[in-house]
Amino acid sequence: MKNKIRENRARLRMTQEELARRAGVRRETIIYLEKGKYNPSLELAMKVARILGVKVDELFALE
Amino acid sequence: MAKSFKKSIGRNRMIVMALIVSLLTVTFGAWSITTIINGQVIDAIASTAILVLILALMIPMITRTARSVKKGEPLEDERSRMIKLKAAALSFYVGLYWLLGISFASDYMPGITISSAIGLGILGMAVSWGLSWYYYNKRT
Repeated sequence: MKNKIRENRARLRMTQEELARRAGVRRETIIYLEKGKYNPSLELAMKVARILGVKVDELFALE
Repeated sequence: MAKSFKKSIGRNRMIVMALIVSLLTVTFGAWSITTIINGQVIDAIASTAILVLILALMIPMITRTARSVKKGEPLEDERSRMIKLKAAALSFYVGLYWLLGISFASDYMPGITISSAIGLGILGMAVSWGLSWYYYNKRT
């Protein structure tokens, strides 16, 4: 699954650490999410989307 | 309040991990020394290899936990839980075949005692869990 977490995070000038802290996960999880190596649960996807101020379908897309 | 509580849980976990590693190191160190003194070559190689593997797998885990505690990160999240689950499932299969292999191989290895064969079997399962965890952690 492709995602635009990195772009949206950069837009808000947010660090991976801050996003991880606000989403309640480890920084590693954010790293793997951004690389597209890890597909998050629906709950985490919605949390990240809310933190980044976008809709889930704007953040994640099927390849 | 919640952060300091999380930190204290993390510290406790680190202490437990350090204790386990120390106990394993002492046990396998003693086993290794005894087998070397008694001239049991296979057992000596096995015990030393296990000791090295335990240290190689556990030290990064402890440093990782220490880093997380220092940063105030959660020690577990959905990804780490999923990795643990996958690693447990894979190591279960690997461990079964490992035990089977050891039980057959021990008949043809005159230098190996029953107790060390059982020990090798159980430790092989533990090592396979560590390696599975490492594999899934890098992949997922």
